[in-house]
Amino acid sequence: MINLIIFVIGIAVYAGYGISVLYLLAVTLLSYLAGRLIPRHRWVMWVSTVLQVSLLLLLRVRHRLPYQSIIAPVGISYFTLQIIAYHVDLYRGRYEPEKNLLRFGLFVTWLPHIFIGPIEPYPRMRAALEERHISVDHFLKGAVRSLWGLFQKLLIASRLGVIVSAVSADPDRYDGAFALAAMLLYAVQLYADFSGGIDIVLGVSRMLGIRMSENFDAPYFSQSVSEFWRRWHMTLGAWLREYVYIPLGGSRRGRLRKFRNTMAAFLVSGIWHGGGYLLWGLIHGIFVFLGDSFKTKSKLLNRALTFLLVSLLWSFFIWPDTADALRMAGSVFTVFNYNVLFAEIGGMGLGPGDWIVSGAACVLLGLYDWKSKSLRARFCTFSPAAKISVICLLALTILTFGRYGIGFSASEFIYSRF
Amino acid sequence: MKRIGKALFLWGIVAVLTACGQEGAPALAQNINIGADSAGNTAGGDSKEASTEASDQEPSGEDGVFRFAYEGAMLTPGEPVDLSGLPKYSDVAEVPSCAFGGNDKIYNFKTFELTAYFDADEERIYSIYFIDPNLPTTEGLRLGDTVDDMKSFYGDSYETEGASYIYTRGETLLILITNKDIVTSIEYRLNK
Amino acid sequence: MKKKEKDILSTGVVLVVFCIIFTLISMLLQPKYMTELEEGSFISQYYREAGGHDVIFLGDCEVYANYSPMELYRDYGITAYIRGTPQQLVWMSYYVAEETFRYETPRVLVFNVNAMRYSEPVSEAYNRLTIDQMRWSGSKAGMILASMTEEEQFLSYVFPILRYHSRFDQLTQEDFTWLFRVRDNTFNGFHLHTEIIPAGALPAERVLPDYQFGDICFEYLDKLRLLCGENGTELILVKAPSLYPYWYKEYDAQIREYASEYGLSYYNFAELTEDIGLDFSEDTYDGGYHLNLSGAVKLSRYFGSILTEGHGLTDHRQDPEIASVYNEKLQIYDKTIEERIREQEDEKDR
Repeated sequence: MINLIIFVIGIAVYAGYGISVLYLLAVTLLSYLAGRLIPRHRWVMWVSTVLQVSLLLLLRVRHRLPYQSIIAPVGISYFTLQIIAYHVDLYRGRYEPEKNLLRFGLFVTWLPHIFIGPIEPYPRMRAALEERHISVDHFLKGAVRSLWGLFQKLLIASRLGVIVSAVSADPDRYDGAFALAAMLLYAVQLYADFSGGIDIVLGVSRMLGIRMSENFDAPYFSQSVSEFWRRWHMTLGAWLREYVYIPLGGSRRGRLRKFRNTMAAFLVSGIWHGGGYLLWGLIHGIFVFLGDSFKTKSKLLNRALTFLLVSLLWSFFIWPDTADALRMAGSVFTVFNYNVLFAEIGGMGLGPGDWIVSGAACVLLGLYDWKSKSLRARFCTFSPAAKISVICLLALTILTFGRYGIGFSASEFIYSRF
Repeated sequence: MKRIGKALFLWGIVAVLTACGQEGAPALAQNINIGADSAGNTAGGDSKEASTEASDQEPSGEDGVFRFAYEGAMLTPGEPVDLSGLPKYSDVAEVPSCAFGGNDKIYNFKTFELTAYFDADEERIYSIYFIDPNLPTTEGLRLGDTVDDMKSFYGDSYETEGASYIYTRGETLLILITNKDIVTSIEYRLNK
Repeated sequence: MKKKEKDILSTGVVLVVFCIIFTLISMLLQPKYMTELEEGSFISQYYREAGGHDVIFLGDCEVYANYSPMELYRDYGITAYIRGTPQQLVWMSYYVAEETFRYETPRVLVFNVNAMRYSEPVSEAYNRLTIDQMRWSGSKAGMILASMTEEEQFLSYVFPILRYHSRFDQLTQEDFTWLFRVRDNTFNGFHLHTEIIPAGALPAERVLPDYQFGDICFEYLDKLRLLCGENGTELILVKAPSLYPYWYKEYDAQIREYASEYGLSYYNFAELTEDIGLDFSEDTYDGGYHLNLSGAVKLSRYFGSILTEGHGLTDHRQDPEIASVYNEKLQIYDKTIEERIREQEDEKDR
């Protein structure tokens, strides 16, 4: 009964995004039926996968399709990968198809995760749904996790985004030091936003008694790009490994094949992120293939260099035009306008209070990432009152220092003829 | 050998990026100039606008905005107020601004009124309101002309709001109020 | 005590502490309207004086700047209060009246019709100056719903922290000084100005595309009229003598027609400046938009005689209870005027 309620609420919320909810429901039903057929008619897997991949590719390559509002629902990138994985697993005979339409529907449309992931394998989602257990303890843990996610989004991501947007809006003016600043800030913004969003998904799911997969493991503490991809968007990495890299042969049969398979996986990753991110994906693929080759003896230096490199490569996300992205990344090495940056950055939309708040929040985020396992373990031992205290403290911090809503600007209060 | 290879690889990447970044090098000088002007405001944007001389501007519409030509001066809503090309105003009133903070200044030139608003510390034109029925717009329309005259000057691409006809070009508006098909009010205004 | 009971108790304590801290932070972050934008506190000053007024004024700055209840009492013994607030729109006036009737039933309710020209909310900032410090009631909820601009949310009025949280780095001494204290800076709602800025150039009268007042304005004027009727209060319509913005003859005609239709009194003081004796070279503090003290005294004297002779209001100067309160107020009022004038003269000498 609760599953039905959750499903209906999820669909109702999704319907708020428009008519594409019909596509979602249709895809869910057809995928369910296809799944039931695959064990006896294995060709159905190919038809389903080709159709879904084609649509995803079309959406990536062409930004405007007929009936776009229906066939390009929010979250299509995520649930498409989940369905493909499910069908391929059935093709491989890993488990029996799901007979319960409602449970399958929840697997596809589970509201907290449909927009942002994690990309949950079917067996894990099924186990989570079967073991669903709502309790006060889970509720409190989930609440803290959600609020922590909101903390990252509203105190860090929304603030740093102001500077990044200002810089990216005018690449002719803001290059060199500005570009570098944007890349570094974007690295943190993206992490806070994405990881924060995932924390909200995991937190809300936990409140509803569902435990979902972790998607981040302190990725900016990585000492190499290959390690970075073991810690960043882990469920996507797992999907690429399982359904692209390993089927192509993985790291067996020599370095050349390994290179080809790695590049294939990152090619898919680049396309999945969007048509303009191919080069980004391929560059990452090269560094992942090279593995730990560039590691030095200093952990700190490794982490710093990895962070710098990854930040530099986020330029493809900051400036969606590939030429601009390359130009901006290059300008870091050719344009040294640091004096201009320090003179102008104060007037680019963030006041001293904003910098202090986001700085302090980043420090907290760093500390949390560094010690997350022990912190979570410690939290589990807290009494309910202590847990609620943490919840209250987080809520107060977000409400007071979060960047949301209209925002008060003294100049809006026009002292004028009333 | 491995180390040399790695070093070459890294330098290669930096070299490629540097080559890409060279396209941005001409911006360096401009950035320094911008930085020298002021911190964090539209100095760059202003210098671009200021560098465009009035004589280079088309009277109206050719570059997508309404401009009011008056005794050799070109007045465009949104642009900085430059009174040097205009005759002396007879009056100036300060009224609380409806759309912006602070006070608007309304300069009365007897045949028209120019309302200026403050953008940071700079005075910019908000609107030009016609008072004298003999004063023509840049295209020739006057108070007292008919709606047909209006359409012959400005065409049919207008929006109506009650008795108002509103023409839009870029960030500027031409607002014409009519009464029984006679133009009773002409105003150039910034679309804000 | 069992563990479960202990947990419940300690959880309760935590939640109470949270509520207290939350409330304190909300109060700290809200603008106090005590020194900057002090007009925002006008609405709440009434609660400390509620009750016993024969006349209540409603409207925007044209009421709280132009009429002086102290002069009405001094010359005619009329007890009055001005419930004026910045950019008070017609629907706001209705809800303020509705709230006022919960505290008292005045003989006369004077409504300044300037707001009839506005059929849409002007801005969130102006809304807040009327709504923020109003006590919570059905009237406040109604006012919020009627006044909200598109980007506003009702919840931000219920929990002001949702609106004012971004003030955390704009807090000033005022926010701490007036966290738990308030100060009355009006005299029965009259905002005193003694400065003189003579009327100068004014903008040309603009032709409007449409002079018709919005339906919503008449809807709320009707509601106000009926509300007064239900409470046995006479509704009087007035237009203050401001030079700008222009009170078009088309506007005036609509109010005259309405007043005539419903048997209401309507006084357009903008047409009676000579009779009132106003001189805009000395009776205005901002170039003709509002009257200063000198102008307010003249207008109040003029209107006071209308209220007494034309509307039968009682002279309370012989009532010992009322007289003792108002005489004390008058002392403070006169003292304040003296101080202000002295300060201005000192300023001039410097």
